[in-house]
Parts: sequence; structure tokens; C-alpha cells
Amino acid sequence: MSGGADLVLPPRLVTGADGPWEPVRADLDRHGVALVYSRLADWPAPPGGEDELRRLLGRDWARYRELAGRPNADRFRATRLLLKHVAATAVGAHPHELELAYGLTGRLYVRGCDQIDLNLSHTKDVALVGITSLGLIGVDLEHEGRRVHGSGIEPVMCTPDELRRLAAAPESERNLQLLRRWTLKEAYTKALGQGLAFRFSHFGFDLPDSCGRARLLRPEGDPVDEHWWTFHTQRFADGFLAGAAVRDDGRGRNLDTGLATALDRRTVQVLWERQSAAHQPPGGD
Amino acid sequence: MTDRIMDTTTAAARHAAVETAYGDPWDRANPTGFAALLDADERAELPRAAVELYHRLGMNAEYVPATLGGSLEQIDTLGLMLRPLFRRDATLAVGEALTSLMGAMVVWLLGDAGQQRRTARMLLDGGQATVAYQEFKHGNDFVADEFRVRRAAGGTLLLGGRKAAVNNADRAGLMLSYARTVGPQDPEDGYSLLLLEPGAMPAASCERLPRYRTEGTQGLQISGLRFQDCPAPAGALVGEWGDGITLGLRALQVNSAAVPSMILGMADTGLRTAIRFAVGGSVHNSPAKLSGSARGAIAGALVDLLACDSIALAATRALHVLPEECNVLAAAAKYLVPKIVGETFYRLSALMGDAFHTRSGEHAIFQKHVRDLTMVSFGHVSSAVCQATIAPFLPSLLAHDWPAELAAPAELFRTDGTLPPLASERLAAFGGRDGLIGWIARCRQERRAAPPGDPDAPLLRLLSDQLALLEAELSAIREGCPALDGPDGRFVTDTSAFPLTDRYALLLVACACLGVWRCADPGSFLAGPGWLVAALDRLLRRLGHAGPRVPDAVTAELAAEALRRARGAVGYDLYALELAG
Repeated sequence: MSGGADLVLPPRLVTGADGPWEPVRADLDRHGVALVYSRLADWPAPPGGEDELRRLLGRDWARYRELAGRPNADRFRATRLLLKHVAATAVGAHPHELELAYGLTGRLYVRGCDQIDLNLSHTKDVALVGITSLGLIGVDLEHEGRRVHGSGIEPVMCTPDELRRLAAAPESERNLQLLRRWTLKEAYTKALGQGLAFRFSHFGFDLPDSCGRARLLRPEGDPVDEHWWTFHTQRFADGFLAGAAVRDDGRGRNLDTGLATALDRRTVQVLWERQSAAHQPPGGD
Repeated sequence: MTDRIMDTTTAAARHAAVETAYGDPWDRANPTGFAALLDADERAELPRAAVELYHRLGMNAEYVPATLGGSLEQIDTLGLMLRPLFRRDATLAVGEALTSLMGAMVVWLLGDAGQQRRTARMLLDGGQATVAYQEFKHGNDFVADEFRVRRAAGGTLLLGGRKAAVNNADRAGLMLSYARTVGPQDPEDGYSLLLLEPGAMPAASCERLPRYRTEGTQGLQISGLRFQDCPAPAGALVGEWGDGITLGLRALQVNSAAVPSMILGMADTGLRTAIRFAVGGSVHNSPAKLSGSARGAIAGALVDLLACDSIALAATRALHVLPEECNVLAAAAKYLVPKIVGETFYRLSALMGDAFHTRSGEHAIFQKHVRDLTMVSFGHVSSAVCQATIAPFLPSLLAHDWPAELAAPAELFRTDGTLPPLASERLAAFGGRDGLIGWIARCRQERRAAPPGDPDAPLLRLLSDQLALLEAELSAIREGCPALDGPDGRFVTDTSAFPLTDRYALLLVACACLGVWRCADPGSFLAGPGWLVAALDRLLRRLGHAGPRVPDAVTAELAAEALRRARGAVGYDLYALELAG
């Protein structure tokens, strides 16, 4: 098994189309995983005007137009531009050449590029993108200032074991502990493409004292023997909390995620020759 | 003692014999049931009793051509025949059958008479073949390295290079190998296909590498080989020297079409397990307790499996019916079916909750199949090979209209009828114009007005709207194609091809569903519009089109059908054959 997903990598800040992308590329090359965050305000409409935005958004343009005039239109534009630039960095393409697609449960993916998987979360004015070449990834972003403890949500989002752990923790730590559990549960179920459809009270986590690696648990606290998944939380920027779940499919590391090398040249050559021969225009017109 | 099944004539009868022999997989006392199979997996071993039964049944014969003494006549029924194995355990199915089949298929299509007889005899005696692929740039560990070969004086072949991960490398009697030709006269990037006998290699020049462990299908006996000037007889060459890539593509399309059909067995168990969980342990419990969300997940899974089987059926039968044009269809099936099955598993995981994580008990097989699927599907490297097959074909989408008259023949969509034998030479055309896409025009043209009061009328109207969306999608794909029309090999770097290959593959699945529906026996479940509109709805949504809403009553009826098939132990596929549990 590769150790890429074992690491807790810091989210890399990018401030627009110019990145910087080198640290993101380096994390992917070295570990098969990268986390990227950005301020939504760093992704204004591009200087090329509507045509350029339409080219960049591609199939998402229609959805953006539907949102026009609503407050979440800007957020939609910013997160899609961020996602496309992150994906383009990973596969060595231009952002407009890629298509963001949505599974039946709304799960994001890059159509036709299954050498990478990515996931998005945002809160306040910050967006977080996780990307991996190892298998699957889910991420969640919360701000530590968010109050969840005492809101009555505990029995819905915690297993019996987690409720016991929570009760045993000092009052001052309970909110942060709950938030960390929440980000991990979101990250895991988003990686599975299920989100809240997978009941949060059906699985739990064993958290370290501070942020870092966590272990998946069954409702009564037995560990799930699941070493192809890794889970971690970490704090970054000004009080933000990121949760990430990564599945390493364990077929070895594919460090080359570039589209330019994805199609086997020898295979394409053979097939192209056959196609060309079959499609000579009749009569030369 | 032997319980050989190969004398049983029809595939359905042989399928029943295999199911009966393996018995109810949920019976904990069954030595070839899930409990024993999970136990072997925990120990990273092959499941001994299931393997022994496989050989007692003489199942190797299923993929040895009838002309060479086996039972193989059609690839569609080969897929069906291996589903009972994949239902139970991918390690059993890949370790005993699929690995051998992938190597042997090259010999059936390209080997000389002597090579074919030798391979058939070894397999019919219960031996194993394996395959060692070339290196791919985007390779996983199975294709991250490769063998080399050059010709020495006297015609002897000298092998070099290593492969760290070859399934059954230790026990396979024959190994079909791609080897890069590295002699001074050989062109760059040439490959030859070799039929090697690993057991007969001199130990001094053939080093055995340690076992390679995987996360899924843990019991597979994978290990490596390293050659150092290792001699092999000239007769090991399969086909022409240096022509390995072109030759290999001929077998690849057969294997690509067959694998999706087989892995539907894994999906069957996934849905069956989720239903057993949802109805509280017994399929005889009332379905009324199912939530709306559970009904939706179950109905969705059923129609996704029927859609997957539709393209698997068309792809496997096209090998026989349209051999010059079947390569793109085979690639589309191999590209999409594992993705859709994986998505189905995860959708059902939400239904199962804690039971999704269990490693013991009657639901544990679900988690094992999820892990094993990533191994069996081969992930991105397989997708990339499929996309490399589809992409060069896309410009020709523009060169033709796809009217109803060009629609693929109905034979592709039936589960009965005898097909012509595989014709190796004809499979070398790689035309890609399978005509499935013509089924959009055909169904639009032959739209029938439902008689007044026909309960299907609203669904047929809905179907009409869906057909218009499929037509629009085809136009959109064609609009994207001109950018691809360029000099040789330009696809390799033209990134706009990637989303288009995915979209075209989804469209082919939709067309396969249309074909199966129109060609089904009148009055049968498959001839009704319910499953079709639900399947098309999901395919259109994957393509980004929010089509007309499928009525709740259709979803409820499909969930009820899934529960009926659970109660009756009937397969979640187009064949709907009876299972052993």
C-alpha cells in the first residue's frame, strides 16, 4: 500500500487563476493527494467578459445563468472556476477543456478523467477543494466559530459511542469535537457520493486529542477494519477546520495524471489508421 | 469424481447446474457460501472448496471453444456462465476463470493450430493460463513494467525484463505475454505476443519474484517474474513478429465486452444484500416497511443493472453479429459498466448504514464486493484503454448521419438465438460503426400512439421527451467532434476528446436499453416502458439533462419487482434466471 493518503497535508492557498499551482502539483506528484483553498472573492468574472466566462464554465454556463441575480451566483462561478483550475493543474490541461459533471446524487467529478477524483466544500467566503489520484476523496470545511454543541443535533449526528465520548470530554472542548466529527462524516459520505443520505449516527470516529488522523468506528465503538481509507482533520487559516476522507484503491501509485499521456499512443495509432482508411471521402469530395 | 456440466447443452441449463452446485450462498453451513468465501479472503487465500468445485464442474471448458473440445460458442452466454462465480467471490472468478480466459482468448483468435490445441488441452485438464500485459504510461502496478524479447541466432527467443504483478504466475501452465521487441532490427515501440511456459523456464534465467498483495481480491495468488536472457522456443511467437499491439486489440475487444457481463454478478449480490438488509433479514418480510428513499435506491439499482446488462448483451453479441464494427461498443461497455456498478454499490451503502461496514455476518459480502470491484475493473488504466478505442472513432460520427435504417440489428438485443461463430479476421477491422446510435432515430420514427385508455400512454409520452433529449445530446457530441479531426495521433493530446468519450458511451447505453425494450417479447417485463423510462432518466441525468420526472408509481413498481426477484431468487439481469439463493 502506498503511504500518500497517510499524510496530513496542509491546504494550499491559491488566490486566483495564477495559483500558485506548484505546491498543489508537488503534493499530487509526491503524495497523490492535495488540498487547496481559496477566497471566493479571488475568483471574479474573468477579464475576457461573458464570452470568456462562458468558455470557462462550459456545460455549467446554463446553471450559472439560471442563478443570475441571486447571491449564490457569484459563489457558483467562483467555486467552478476554482475546481476547473485545480483539475486542470492535475491533468495538465486548460480549464476550459475539462467538463465538471455531476453524478446522480450530485457528486462532482471531471467527466472522462477518472485518473483523478475531486471534492468541494465551502463556508463563509472560503472554498476548499480536495483532489487525489489514489481513488476517492471527500472534503468538508467548517469554521470553528460555528456553534453545534447544544443545538440538539448530537443524537442525529453521533453514534452511541460518540455520545459517550462527548459526555466524557470537558465542556469547553465539546463544540470543537463535534465540529471535527461533523467534518469527517461529511467528508466520508461525500466521498461515497451519498452526503446526508448515509445516516451519521450509523458510523463514528475515534479522534486524536488534537487534529490529525482519525479512525472509522461502528456505532458501539468497534473499529472498522478499513485500511484503504484515511481520515483526518486540520485547522488552517483563521479558524477554519477541514475534514478529509481519502480512499487509496491500492493498485499502486499512478503519479502520471496528465491527459497528454492518458491515451496509449500505440493503441490510438492503430485505430486511427483503420478509421482513416475507412473514412476516405467517396469521390474525393 | 466429476460433476462436469459441459455436456449440458444450453447455457441456461448449465447456469442452473452451476448455481445448484454452489448452492445457497447465504447458507452459513455451505462450504462454497459467503461465510466460507469471506473467511478465505480474510486469510488472503483462494477459497479451497469453491475452487475444487469449480474444477469438478469442469468450468474451464466454458471458455474453451467447442471446436477444441470445450463449451464456448458465444461470448454473451460466456458472460452469463461466469456470473454465478462473480456473484459469490471475485477472487474465485478472477483467479480460476477470468485470468485464464484473458490469456487464452488471444490464443483462440491468433494462435496457430498447435498453440490452440496445447492451450485447450491444458485448460480442459484443469490447468491455468495467465496474461502479462505491456507497460502503460498511466499504469497501475499490473502494467507498470514489461517483458522484452529479441531474436537470437537459430530463431531462439531471448527474454528480458520483469513484471512484478502477474496473476497466477506461480501456477499457470501457460502465460500469454506482451513483450517489447528490442532486437537491433526491431522498430521502436514494437511488441510481440508470446505463449510461454513459466514452469519450463530455466531457473537460472527466470527469477520468481515475491507475492504481490492487493487490497481487494486478497486471495489472488499474484507474483512476479524477472527474465535475464531467458531462452524460449521460436514456436512461442503468436501471430506476426512485432505486431503485438494490433493483434492484441483483437482479443482486447472480446475481453472488454465479456468482463462487464460477468461483473454484473457482483452487482446482483450487492442489490440482493441491500434488499435483505432493508427488509429485515428475510426477503419474505413485507416490503411495506421500506422508506421512499429505500424504494428509490432499490428501483434505481435494478434499472441500472438492466441498463448495464443491455450494453453488455449488445457488446458481446456484436462480436458475433457485427465483428467489423464492435470495438467501440465493447470499449463503451467496459468503460461504463464498472463505473455504474460502483455507483450502485455506494448508493446502496447509504441504505445499509452500519451494515455497510460489517466484516462478518450475512451482509459482509457487500463490503467485500465493493473492495473487489476496484481490482476487477482495473480502474483508470482500463478506462484509458477504452477511451483510446472510442476517441479515434468520434470524428466519423460526423461523417455519417444515423438514421433509423442504419440501426443495429435486433439480434444484438435478444437473450436467445444462435449467433455466427467468432471470426478472428473480421474482428481486425476495428470499424466502430455499430449502429446502436441509430436506435434513437428508429424509436422516434416508430413512435406509436397508445390506444385510448392504455395505462402505458403517459410513460410513452415521457419516453418521447426523453428521446428528444437523447437526440439533442447526440447533436451536442457531434458539435464537439470537429475539433478532434486532425492528423494522426492528435487525439493523444487533444483533451477535448475525454469528456466526449464518456458522453458517447452513456449514449450507447441508452441505445442498448432502447434496443432491448423494442426487441423484447410482447407482454414481458422488458417490453413494458417502466424500466426503460427509469433507466433512461438516470442516463440522461448522468449526461446533465434534467428530463421529465419519472412517476413515483413507476419507482414503486420497480422496487416491487426487485423484491419479487429477491423472494424468488431470480437474477437482477435481462435473463432473470433462477438462482440458488
